[in-house]
This record gives sequence, C-alpha cells and structure tokens, in this order.
Amino acid sequence: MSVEKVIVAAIVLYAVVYLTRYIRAALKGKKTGCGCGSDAGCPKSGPSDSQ
Amino acid sequence: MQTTLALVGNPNVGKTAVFNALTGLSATTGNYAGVTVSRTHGIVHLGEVKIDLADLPGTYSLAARSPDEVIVADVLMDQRPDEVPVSGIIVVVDASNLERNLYFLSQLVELEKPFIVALNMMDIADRRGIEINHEALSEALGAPVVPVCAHKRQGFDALRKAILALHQGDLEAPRASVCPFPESQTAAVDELARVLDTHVDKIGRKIPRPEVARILIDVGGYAEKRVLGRLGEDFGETLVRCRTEAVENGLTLPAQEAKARYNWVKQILSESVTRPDPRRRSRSERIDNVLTHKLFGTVFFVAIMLVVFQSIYSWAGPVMDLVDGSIGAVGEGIGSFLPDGVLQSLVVDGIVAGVGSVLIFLPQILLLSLFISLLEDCGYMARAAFLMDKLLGWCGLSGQSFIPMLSSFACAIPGVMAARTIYDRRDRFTTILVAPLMSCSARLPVYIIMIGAFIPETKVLGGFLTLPAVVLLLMYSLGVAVAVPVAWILKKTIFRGEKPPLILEMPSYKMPQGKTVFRKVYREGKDFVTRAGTLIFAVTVVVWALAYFPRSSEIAESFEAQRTEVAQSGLSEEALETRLQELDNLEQGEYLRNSVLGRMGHVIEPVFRPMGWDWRIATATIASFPAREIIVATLGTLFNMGADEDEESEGLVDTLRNATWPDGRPLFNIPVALSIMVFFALCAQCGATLVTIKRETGQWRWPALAFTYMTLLAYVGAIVTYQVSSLILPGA
Repeated sequence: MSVEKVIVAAIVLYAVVYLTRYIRAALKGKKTGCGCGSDAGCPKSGPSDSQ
Repeated sequence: MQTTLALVGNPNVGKTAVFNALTGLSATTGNYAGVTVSRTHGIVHLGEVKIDLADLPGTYSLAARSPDEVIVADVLMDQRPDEVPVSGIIVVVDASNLERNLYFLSQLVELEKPFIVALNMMDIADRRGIEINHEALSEALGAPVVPVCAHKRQGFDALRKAILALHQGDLEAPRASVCPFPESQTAAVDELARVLDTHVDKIGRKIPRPEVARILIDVGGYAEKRVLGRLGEDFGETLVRCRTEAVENGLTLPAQEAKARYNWVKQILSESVTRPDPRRRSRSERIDNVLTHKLFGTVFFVAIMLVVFQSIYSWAGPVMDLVDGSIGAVGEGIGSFLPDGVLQSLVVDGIVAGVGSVLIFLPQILLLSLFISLLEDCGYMARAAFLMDKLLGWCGLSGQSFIPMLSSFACAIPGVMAARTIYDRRDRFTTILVAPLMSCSARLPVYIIMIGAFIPETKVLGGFLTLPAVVLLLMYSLGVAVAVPVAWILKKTIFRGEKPPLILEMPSYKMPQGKTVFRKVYREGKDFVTRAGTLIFAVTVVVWALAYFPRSSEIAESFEAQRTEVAQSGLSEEALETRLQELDNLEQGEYLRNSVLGRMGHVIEPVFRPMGWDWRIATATIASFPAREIIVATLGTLFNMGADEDEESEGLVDTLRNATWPDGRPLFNIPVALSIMVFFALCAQCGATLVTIKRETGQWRWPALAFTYMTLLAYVGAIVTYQVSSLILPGA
C-alpha cells in the first residue's frame, strides 16, 4: 500500500471516529454544538428535573 | 474551606456584566431580560484568596414558577446536592429602579446569609436625577452597598474589598425577617414548619424556613407542588388550613406578603433616596412612544429588517469574493503540488471544496451577528418582542415566548434554552417546539448560495433594494409565518390552555457597548469556524470517501480506450482538448454514479423528484442532518467530483449553474433553488438543537415530534414551492 493511500485511510478513519463519537455524545444528551454562548463554561444541567 | 458566593438580582440589571468584571470571563450579556438562563461559575481572584462565584439567572422573587427561578431558589437555599452551599450573596440592583429590586432583596435578607449590594447602573440613575445616599442605604440594610457601573468597570475595587470582608467573616448575617408581616402569617409558617419537620424521612431533607414560607404563600407554586408530590393529599389539607389561618383583613396571602414587603421597601427608600418629579418622562419612554406604536413601530421594524438584509447582501460581497478567491487559490496550489490520485482528490475535491464552500460565508455570518448584537445591546430587541406580541399574540403565545424566538435567529440552541424563563409549562414547550423554525445563521449559507446563483439582481422599491435582499428577508420571515399557525395548533391540541398575560420588561435604551458586541460577533464567528474545522470537515471526508469508492478498473479502461481513439482521430488541437475535457468529465460522472453514495442516492432519488431534485441534492440534504450548512460543503464536494465542472467555473455558484441532468437539461433553476431554500427554512436538520430540546424537556418524544413535524412541513413546502413556481415561471 502506498504512503498516499495510508494517509487517506488515516484521515477517513479519523473522520469516521469523530462522527461516531459526535453521534454517541448527542444520543447521551451531551452538548454537541454551539449554544451555551459562554466562554465561562457550559451549564451543568438542564432543568428537566423540574418538569 | 472554599467560599462560594451567589450573584443574584432581577433580570437585566447587569449581573453578568458584574460577573465578567469580577472574574475576567466573558459570559454572554444582553440588554434584555432572560439572557442568563443557567448558572455559570467563575473564580474571583483577591490576592492569594480565590472565591467561587456563581452567576444565577435573573428573578424578581423567590416565588419560583419557571425552571430558571427554581434553580435560583434552590441554590440560594442550599437545596441542590450538586452545588456547594452558598456562603454569601452579591445582590446586583438597578439603581434606577430600586423599589422593584429591593422587593427581591427583602426575601434574600430572610435567607440569613451575609450579603453585599452592588448598586449598578448608577449612570442611568444620575441621568434621571435620582440621588442615592448609599451610606444611608447600607446602614438601613445592615450590609455594604457598593455603587458600581459594570459596563464601564467602575467601583470594582470597593466591591472586591467588600467581597474579601465577607470571605474573612467580617460581615454579619442579617436578622431573620425585616418585613412587618402579620402575626397570623408568621404563626402559620411556624405551624407548617413543625408539620414538615415530622416528615423529613418522606421528603428526604429538612425544609428551610424561607422555603416553608414559599410553600405557604405561593398557591400552585413549585415549592408546594414538590412537597405535595411527596406527602400527598393529607398534607394538602394541612396546607389549606394554615393558609386560611394566615390571612388577615380579607387580603390574599400573596397580596399580604407584597404589602408587607413594599412597606419595608418604602421605609428604606424614604431614608436614602431622593427622586425627581415622577411626572417627568424619561428619554426611553419618549422613544418608546414611537417604536412600540402599532403603525410607526411596525413600519420602523420592517424598515430596519430590510436595511439589515440589504447590508448583509451588499457589504459582505467583496469580502466573500476575496475569501472565495483565496480558497480557490489554496485548492489550485495543493492540486499542483500533489500528484493526481486519491490523496489529491481527497484534499482538493473533498476537504478544500467542501469546507471551503462553507468558510466563504463567514463574512455574512459576522455581519448578521453584528446587526443582531447591536439591536440587542441598544435595547431594541425587547421592543421588537413587544410589537410581535401585538401582531402575533392571537396564536396563543405570550410575550415571554418572543425573546427565545428572537434569540433563535442567531442559533436555535440558546433560543430553546431561553424558554426556561417561561412560567407556564404548556407555553414553554410550545415555544421550544417552534423556536427551531426561526432562520438561524446556519441557514444563511444555503440561502446565499441559492439566491446568489439563481435570483437576478433586479432593483426593487425605487432602486433602494435588490431582489436577492427581498428574497432573503422573505426566507427569514417564512419561519415566523409558519411558527404562528404551528403554535396555534399546538396550543389548541397538545398544550391546550389560556394565553398567559404579557410580562415583558422594557430595558432602557443605551449606546451599544463595543466590547459586548465584539464578543458576541467573535463567539459567533469562532463557533462557525470551529464547526467548519471539526464536524463539517468530518462529514465532508466521509461523503468524499463514499462518493469516491469503489474505483472500477473497467471504467478506467473504457475511458482510456476512448481517449486513445480520440487522440488518433485527427481532430484539431482545440477540438481535441475540448473532447478530452468532455471525456474527463464523463469519466468523473461515471465514477460518481457507480460509487457507494451514487448507488444509494439513486435509490432515494424518486422521493425527492417531486421537488425537482436529483440524487446529489437529496444526498447532500440527508448528509446535512448534523448541521444545515453541511449541505453547502457536500454540494461543493459532490459537484466538484462529478461531470458538471468546466474550466471556466469559479466557485460553487458557477458549478451549480452548470450542473445538468443526465439528458443535458440544467439541474438547477429558480423553482429548484426556491424549493431548496424553503426546505431548509422549515426542516429540522440540526442534531445539536434536537439534543438541546431533549435536555430541556427531559424526554426524547419532544425532539422526535419537532423533527417529524418540521421534516413533513419542509418536504410538503418544498414540493408545493417547486410545483407552483414551475407553473408561474416556466423555463426559469
């Protein structure tokens, strides 16, 4: 296998792993995108316990 | 032991600005109520001493009804097991509106924790001629009162000294109650506390006296519901008996409480504050007469929106061209550096074409964010919400819903989170379900690319506006126009109930703060670039791989044979070059059709044909589920890898204009562009928003409902748009 193909395989593998982790985090309800709007840190939890 | 202080106050008194000034952090601030909807922690450094500071959502009272108020009440009464108990409180009060602010302070005093009063907005109080003797106020309250001007960072040395004194134990906790409540009320609280103490096992904790008072006074409030859920109807009877015994002079309990507290507030203010003639109207009130007027206010609102969208269109153009040119040059540079093959295709056709297609919209995103930040910071957004309430209130949503919906124009996630400020659960859930319909900044690249490629630059309204800007405004209005009937249906079916009264605080007008505006624009740009470099990069690579593999040797051999044949056919040099270029394009198209993605795309294509879409647009749409702007990256990759690019093509706009069906008809036209925009205006293609809806509602069925109804609306809307516009604009 040429060096070129190894590099491509590594990049594709990285992308697949990144997306898998992203989807897993999303399904667990963790923050996955923009939105907490604060450099000071994200909210610790939502208020779902109060509903 | 670590000292944890809570930073509290009414909404829109500048708590977060004080928090930022004390901690050096940059949490989001805004000139309207409800910006902070969750607690944020930061460290205050006082020499060697480090103090944990928790910025809590704004609230008018400890009578918690909405989720954000519950957080405040629980943290202040040390009732959250996940939080360190609060050692003291910094109360931020609006110096220009002390009466209302001290009402909340009268409740905080009863928590028996040492506190400091940060007297913010002194500049506005001065302008209104309000004179505050802060030393007299401090003596009356029994706590330090420190005048500060948070946005100018004035008065913070004195505030830090007071915090240090609190940390060192130099400040005394106040006495239990300062307000002249009737004896019957105090006795009823004592009685209820005794009963609750006998049920500690069932409740799981000892309820502090301030919470007992809330259980007694707030009929149907959160504190009552929580205890009734544990103790059942027997306790309910005791509660009713205590409430009957607590009232005097025919008043209701909340009215009795308010009377006692305001009497205390009046007494405190009479000793420390001098006011000008109350009949004199402030500058903000005079401006509001025009800007909240049913006719003039609406005209001003529409005009300012038109200016915003025209500016986004015309100002960002040159910068966008510059970024586009730079990305094109990078692609060409890498293309000439890397040899032909799989790596070159990944980098040039996949990463540069995909991520680059998204990055060129950074100038528009920054401009939109700049306009929203300026309108928020000067105080206009609350007026816009007031106007919207007048115009759209018939659908059953209260004025409280419009701030979350307005926030959603930047991003649906803070919009969904801002719904925490809404008291009524039905209203809160309805708002959460319609907020994602507002056009967020991620939709902007989709609109810009389609409008830029297919909507002519015709001048309208006497040359002041162009057709692309009007179409852009219409796309932004579509979400609102659809949200109204959706909210109406939800309020008539799943969330049936009365429309709550409008409760909306009008902040004072002020000059936007450069630093605050810059921070918001910077954060928006950073989020956008980060997403392009992470999520969009990853999706682009995966889409490229699915569209590149497998590489059939039969196709390569077949086209190689055709090239040899053409080379030997004796064509002129120019004709030969054209024919070879055609063969190259055909070969790329053949590879794409035979790739994994191509085969999958052809299976799903019939579903999207009624919208005028081919399999590439359909695949790009499905790939954009994690985030809407991914469609631009995926289109960039797919159309760069296919047969539609010619040597004259400059950027994605030209490539899309040249794209064709297999029979040579143009793929894109105005109806297709409009159907894509309508689909993206209405669809729920944002994984992060759906996750946030789950987090805020606690159940997966609500994001499932949002996704289902939005996808159906988007699908039907896109079909109707394509079919109707094809009839109106044949051959467009």
